[in-house]
Amino acid sequence: MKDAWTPHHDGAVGDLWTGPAGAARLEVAEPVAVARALAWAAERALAVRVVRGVRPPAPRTLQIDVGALAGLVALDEISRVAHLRGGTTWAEAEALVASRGLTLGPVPGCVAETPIMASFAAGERRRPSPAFGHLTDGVLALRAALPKGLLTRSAVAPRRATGPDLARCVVGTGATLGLAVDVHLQVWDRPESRVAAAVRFPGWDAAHDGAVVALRQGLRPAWWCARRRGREVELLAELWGDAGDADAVGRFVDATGGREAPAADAQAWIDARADAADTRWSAQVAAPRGGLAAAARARRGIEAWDLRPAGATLYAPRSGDAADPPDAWAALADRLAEHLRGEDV
Amino acid sequence: MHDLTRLLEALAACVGADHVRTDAPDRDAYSRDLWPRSQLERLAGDPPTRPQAVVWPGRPAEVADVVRLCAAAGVPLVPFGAGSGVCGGARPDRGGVVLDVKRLKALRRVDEVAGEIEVEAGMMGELLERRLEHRGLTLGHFPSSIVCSTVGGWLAGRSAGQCSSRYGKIEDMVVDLEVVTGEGAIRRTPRADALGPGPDWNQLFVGSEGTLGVITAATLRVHPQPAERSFGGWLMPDYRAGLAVMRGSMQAGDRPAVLRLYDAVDTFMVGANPHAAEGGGALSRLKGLLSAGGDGGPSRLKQTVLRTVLGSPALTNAAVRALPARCLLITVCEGEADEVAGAHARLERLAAAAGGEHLGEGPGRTWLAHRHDVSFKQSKIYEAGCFVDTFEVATTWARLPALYEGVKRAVGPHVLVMAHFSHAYPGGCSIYFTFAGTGRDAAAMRHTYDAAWRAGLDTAQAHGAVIAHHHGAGLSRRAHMPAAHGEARQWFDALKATLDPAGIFNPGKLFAEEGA
Repeated sequence: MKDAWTPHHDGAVGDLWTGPAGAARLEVAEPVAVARALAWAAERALAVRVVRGVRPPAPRTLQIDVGALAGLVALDEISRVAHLRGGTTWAEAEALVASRGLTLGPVPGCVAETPIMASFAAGERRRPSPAFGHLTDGVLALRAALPKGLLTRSAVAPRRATGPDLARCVVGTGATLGLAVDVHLQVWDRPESRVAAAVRFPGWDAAHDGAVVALRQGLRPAWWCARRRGREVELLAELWGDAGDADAVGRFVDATGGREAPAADAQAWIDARADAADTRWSAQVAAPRGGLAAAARARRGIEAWDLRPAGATLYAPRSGDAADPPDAWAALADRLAEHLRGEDV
Repeated sequence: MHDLTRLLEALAACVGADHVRTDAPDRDAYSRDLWPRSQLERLAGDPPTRPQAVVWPGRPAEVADVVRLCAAAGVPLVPFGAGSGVCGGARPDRGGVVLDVKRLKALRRVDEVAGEIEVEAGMMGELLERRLEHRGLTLGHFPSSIVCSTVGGWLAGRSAGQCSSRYGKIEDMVVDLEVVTGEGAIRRTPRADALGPGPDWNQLFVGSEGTLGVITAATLRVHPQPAERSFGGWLMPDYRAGLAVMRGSMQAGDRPAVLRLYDAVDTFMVGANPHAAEGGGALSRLKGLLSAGGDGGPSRLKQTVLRTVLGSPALTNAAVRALPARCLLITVCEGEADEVAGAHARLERLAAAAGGEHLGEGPGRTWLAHRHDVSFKQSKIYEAGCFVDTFEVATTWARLPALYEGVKRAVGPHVLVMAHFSHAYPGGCSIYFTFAGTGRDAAAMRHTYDAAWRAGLDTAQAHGAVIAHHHGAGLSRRAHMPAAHGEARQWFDALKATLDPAGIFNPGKLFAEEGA
């Protein structure tokens, strides 16, 4: 694949590679290099894609290879906060904190090899954990490179009231408003026990109701899903906890009000979700409560991962029809990016 | 610059003449919020700038009309809830029009099953919570200002309630927002649980303090009323032992509603007697002292005593360091029975392991019964020729002790200072500093007040803490905002240019304007 790229030197960003149709590739090892790369791309109106390793050229796209911008900067074991460089993949990050007896929570296989920086840019939503939230939720601080080539800074704290949460500008916005070059993330003690639980219900609404009751009783699985199984709907969960808690599955089954099913069903689902080869899940559709059955009829192989009182987010094998924001907000986001680049709008 | 008369006529045409006021009492009332410095300015003969007019739109469409008219005229527009902000965020320092949202007070939708409500921005907090309670629900948001603050104010300032460790801050409760942006469009943000590509607009409007638009309504998550509640109180050997209990509980994944640890001085002030009303501490005695003057207020002798004590802050702070180091920890757990029992049992184990003396339920119950009292008794202190204020900062658990000690050391030469730790999360918590001081005259008081604030926030930033946890930035923290955000200011400027192209929304707030 390296044959597709031609070495080149640029005064602003140093050594890089160029490819056909305006493609470019740059390796970065420092946050300031990301900032310079964004500025360079903005000047040339190139799209930006964060990658690890060498990828095929894409027209008018700068690939920023962040493999050298990876690693654990510091681990605050008192506050359980990991300071990670943006090029670290989630699998690497989990391994780094695991060696100190800590965890980021479950890391789905479909995101394991994605750099943290790229997940923030994409607004990663494929780990809707009741216990740990989304992978991009537990942020105590975030430093970003901006399209004008500057770096932001931020104090490290669990919450703040110093104006809007400006760091959200780099979550879900591609690289148009900046990229997260390092983040402080909440980590947790590794669980002493992980058990799988499976519960069956006569239909989607019953399964959804059972999940909501469990949440309201304070039960928060590490991850879970509801999906059709034959004529029934099954709720599959992994419960993390203390080794001495022998009744975790029983409490979960009782809370949901469903019929206990073989735990092997849930374990198979957990193993599949944790498998790095499981890269299929991308299409996401929010369904209101009561709308799960209809949505499931419309999409084959659908799973409801983000079960909450108001509804659920349905995940399906990739089909290229991910939900878009309302047009008005997309237009505003474009204008925001234009203002940030200093363009006259 | 603009034809005020024509603007006022146009405003009256869209919201009704009764809902546009230009008389002095209204303009005076809307010239300030509850920022204590405004009171000191007034005492020094330097009252804040008054708006040219106050308007009370009754529907979002009227808000949009007001925005369009002000934008066309280039007149500043300051959204205003109940005016209970304590940072000057709602002060119309550039004049213009104050837009009071309190007529937008409908509870539009309650969905018990989905656990959501849609409520307009002008709904008063305590009224909302009562209406939810009648339906077996709670928002779980109980700021000490709940009887004098609005939903819109909570959202604008990134407010926190006293039960934030369980229910989160207001930003954690938002599903979506209805906002009027600078071109006069009524917009609904994408739902937080259905975000597609693009930024999370909810989190960009929450905390914007009226600088990016007027929040007219919000969809918020609500919860069933807790089935059970447990109360706890412990005297911890010192504040570090208390912090260990709070941290252990949150990092175990429990979600107590309240974890509140008073430092030694604050413990002395609130008292740790589980049987006495308000704890029976020095604060209740101080309140009694200041209230003892009858209708005429505190006696001259008592005022003199207070001014003497606060007039020598270094000496007073040194004296209170001789107090016992023990610190009161109050806990409240709520929810379903099993969850409450589990969380409370863990707190008991953690507190015992840290050397805590169990005080039973009394302190927790007493705190719950009196939790909104203090804010309404500060005026007596001002009558005595003194001032009192608070600021809250936040950081990670590992940095809390250095932050606490550093801020006390920095502020101590100027004022009497005490603190409590609250709003706990797995990664850290907030420190809520209370300080009181005096001066030989109003100008001297203002000088001392500013010195205390500056020392506190400078020190917080030097320790890597955030300078506000839930009061917002307003004017009181504006000088520290550039350092707090660095180049992220560019994002704010881009948001401002995108959403408020005429630059009318609450100008000069959060960040000073270029060249100002």
